[in-house]
Amino acid sequence: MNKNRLALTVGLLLIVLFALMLFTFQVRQTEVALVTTFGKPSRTETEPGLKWKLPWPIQRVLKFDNRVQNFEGKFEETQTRDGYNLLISVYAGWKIKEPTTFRNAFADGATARATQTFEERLRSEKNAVVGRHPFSHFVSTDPKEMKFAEIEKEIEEAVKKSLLDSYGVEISFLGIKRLGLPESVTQKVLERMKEERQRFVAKLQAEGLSEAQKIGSGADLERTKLLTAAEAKASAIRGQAESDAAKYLEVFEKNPELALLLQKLSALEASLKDRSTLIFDTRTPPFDLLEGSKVKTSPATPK
Amino acid sequence: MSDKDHHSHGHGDGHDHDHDHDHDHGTEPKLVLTSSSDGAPVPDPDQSLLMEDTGSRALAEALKSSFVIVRGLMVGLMILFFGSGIFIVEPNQKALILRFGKPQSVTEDQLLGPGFHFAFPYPIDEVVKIPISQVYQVRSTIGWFATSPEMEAAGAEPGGKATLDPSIEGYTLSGDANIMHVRATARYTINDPISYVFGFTATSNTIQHALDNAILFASAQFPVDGVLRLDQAGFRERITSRLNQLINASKLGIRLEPIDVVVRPPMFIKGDFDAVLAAEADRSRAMNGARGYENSILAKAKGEAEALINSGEADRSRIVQTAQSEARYVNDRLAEYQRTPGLFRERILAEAMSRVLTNVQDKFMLPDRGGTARELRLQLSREPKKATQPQAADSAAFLSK
Repeated sequence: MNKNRLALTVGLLLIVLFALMLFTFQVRQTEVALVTTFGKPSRTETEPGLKWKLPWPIQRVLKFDNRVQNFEGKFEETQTRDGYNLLISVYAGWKIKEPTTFRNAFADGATARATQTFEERLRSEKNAVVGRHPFSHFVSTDPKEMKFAEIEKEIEEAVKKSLLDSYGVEISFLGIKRLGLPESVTQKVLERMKEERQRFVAKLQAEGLSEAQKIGSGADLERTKLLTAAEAKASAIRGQAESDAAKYLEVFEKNPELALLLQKLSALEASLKDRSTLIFDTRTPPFDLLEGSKVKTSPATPK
Repeated sequence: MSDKDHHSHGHGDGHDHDHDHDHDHGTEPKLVLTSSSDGAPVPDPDQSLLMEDTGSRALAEALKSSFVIVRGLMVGLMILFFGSGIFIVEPNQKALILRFGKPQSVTEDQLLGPGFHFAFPYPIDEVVKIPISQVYQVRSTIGWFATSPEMEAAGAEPGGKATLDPSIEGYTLSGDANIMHVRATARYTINDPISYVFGFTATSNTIQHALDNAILFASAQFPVDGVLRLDQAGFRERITSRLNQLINASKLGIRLEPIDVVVRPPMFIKGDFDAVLAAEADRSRAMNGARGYENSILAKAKGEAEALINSGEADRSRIVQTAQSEARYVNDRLAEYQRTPGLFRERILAEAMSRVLTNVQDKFMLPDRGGTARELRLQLSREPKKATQPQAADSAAFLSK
């Protein structure tokens, strides 16, 4: 009896397991599930966990990945409002929001087909948006002119609603992946850049010369100023000295004759310091002694 | 499994039992078997009863022993079943259990840390391990010129072409509509594992898209000179802030480490960019030279100015002292002069003449001729400077009374 009960328990357990397998299904964190009853979508399960269903011939479960999937568009040429040809590609993150719509649009939920459809949908919207903006909205050093983020937003808005309505797909984010110029234009750009560089070099060289000259002449000017100021100061000092000296020379005024005599004598002495030739007559003292005893002066003739 | 095992064991034991029975009863069972196969009832009640009895007993025994084995097996399987639910989380990992597909941890601190953990086996639980401290790396795919890994390894760069084929060559457009090459490498760690692991089919690709977008976005705002020379840090900063913004907006659940950014001018005109750098170096060299000249000349001028002032000062003391000593000299002699002016005058003149005449080299004395005019010719050539130079003759005519 005991053995029978064990067998019975095991059997029951197996039956329950089997029934659970038939009547339940799991929705993983990364999935959404669509339950169809006799092939017609009856409900969607978006929350993860264990869910009920009726067994196979009645209800079927279709599971979809609800993670954000990457999409990258082709790098294609289009025209801006001001007639520039611009190569542009966009990337986007999308996920399945409405499994029913998604399944209806792509019968067996093939992501490859979905991507292809987005590509077509996106291309026309992208071209339309790019055509509304001038080239300077894509690249510009002026923050007011630059509309990069706005353009991305515009494309996203343009495709967002239609993708959700007709494919049950939600765009999580959309951005520009690449920008480029047609090959023939790149040549012109490179040439222009080259010329710009050469102009730059010339400018730098001229600038270097003129700057150096400016510094040099500035230094010269500064030097002259310094020296003049110093000379002026030295003259002032000398002038001061003269006026100081004048104070001492007041004593000359007491007897100008003596002062003059002494000055003359010292001048005479100084001028005949050495290697001079002196021609004089006998009246000049002290040679006047040779002439007689009359005291008479005559000017010395220094040479 | 266990059911199947049980059945097969049962059969096996039954056969063994038949075999044993054969040995016990010699040839008789053969007879019974043949007769029964013939279909003719040759019942030997005793014999058949005996057989039935021993058969069922043997079967019961067999069942009994097989049940022991089955039970052992089942216990073993149970241990195995639950034992398989134990798993180890490594020190650099965090783990998360999906029960029937639903995460059992919601916030980061509910994640399972390193150590032993238990989870029910499939299909109840699913263990997802996340390398939380690992640093991942993505590199931008646009913006760099065509190159091969071999060339990169060798550090070689391709020669420039006059045009850039958009299908091969990558580049970005600068704010002043120039072309340049930019490559960024972003490193990141997982910040929010649930959103990183379950939110995206290929998170690293999404990050790469965002990185490409960020370098495009930053390039489009900077002039080419800003990116290549003047403001590389600002450019890098712009890429980082844009990338962070995109990461937060799409909830990628990662934390960004500092980004590496490499920029290059187009290869075709690299030489011209280098020339600008050289010109710039030349300019600063010229300016440095000028500054050096400025410094040296000013230092010299300062010295000269100082010297001028010093000489002024020297003159001052000389002038003052001279005046002082002259004044003293005059003053000292004043009393004497006032006493006998004539005598003093003659005396002092005589003194001076004696000094003068000692110093004078040539002296000519002309006797007085009593007022008759006469001519005196004098040739002076007393400076024998150089032998080769003809001696300069200074002539002076004196008319002496």
